[in-house]
Amino acid sequence: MNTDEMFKQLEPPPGGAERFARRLDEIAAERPSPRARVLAIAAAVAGVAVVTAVLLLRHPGDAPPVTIANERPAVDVYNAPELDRLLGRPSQPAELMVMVNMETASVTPIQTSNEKVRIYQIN
Amino acid sequence: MTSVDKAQWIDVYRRLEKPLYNVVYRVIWDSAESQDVVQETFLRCWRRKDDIRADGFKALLFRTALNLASNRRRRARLWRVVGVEVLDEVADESVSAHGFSKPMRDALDGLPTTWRDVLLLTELAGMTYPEIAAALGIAEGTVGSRRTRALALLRERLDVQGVIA
Repeated sequence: MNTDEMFKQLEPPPGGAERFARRLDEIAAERPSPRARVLAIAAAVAGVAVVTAVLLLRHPGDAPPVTIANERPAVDVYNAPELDRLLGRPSQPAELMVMVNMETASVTPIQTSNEKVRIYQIN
Repeated sequence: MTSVDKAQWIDVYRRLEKPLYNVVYRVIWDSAESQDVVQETFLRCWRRKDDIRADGFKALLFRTALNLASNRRRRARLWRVVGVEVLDEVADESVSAHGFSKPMRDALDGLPTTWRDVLLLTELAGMTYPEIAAALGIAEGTVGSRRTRALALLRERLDVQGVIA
């Protein structure tokens, strides 16, 4: 009684190495696959659709009045400019921190003619 | 393996395609899919070739192939549950492309996965016990004990199904 038949050596379909060489050439270019591109586009469209739906379905009159805490929040996200805009309060100046090779780098502001544009030089 | 070029990689593929194919085929029972899994295994390792140690290369190849084969088989079953066929109908055919009857395939499929993987590598991959232990992340002694138990259970099931007389 044996299991030789179960473990007999099988021959793979012919032309495997040639097909593999072609696939190797294809990935050498390392471009995103069509499937990945479709998924990325679908994800982006879905994201835009969700944001649009939320904005369209919002009724400002139904929303409870927004109360702004007087105390300084402990979480950094409360200082985010996006939240300031949502709450209708003036943006708080935030400290700029730049990391270069996992180390904090100092920056020097550079004058600009447009007050909405800030340019910094990394020292 | 920093200096491996494409020609060398294809040469390695030629040498190891057959044992890898034999192992993968016993997991998904589909000829074209098995070859595709073998190629995908090599392509994945090619992308990481600069990080692979030469002494662990074979173990990595077979472990990757087994993982990919198991994933593909699981995905095929899932699609079958929801009514979409992604693999050939081979799993439901009485005899596969290489002549394995359904009772034979069921007997191997019915083994615990950890036992089956050991059995496939010992019987088909031409690997030593230390290589298999490294590939599966188990002790060398465990390779031998799992192989013994897997073979016994396989024979028992084949006997029950009347496949081996």
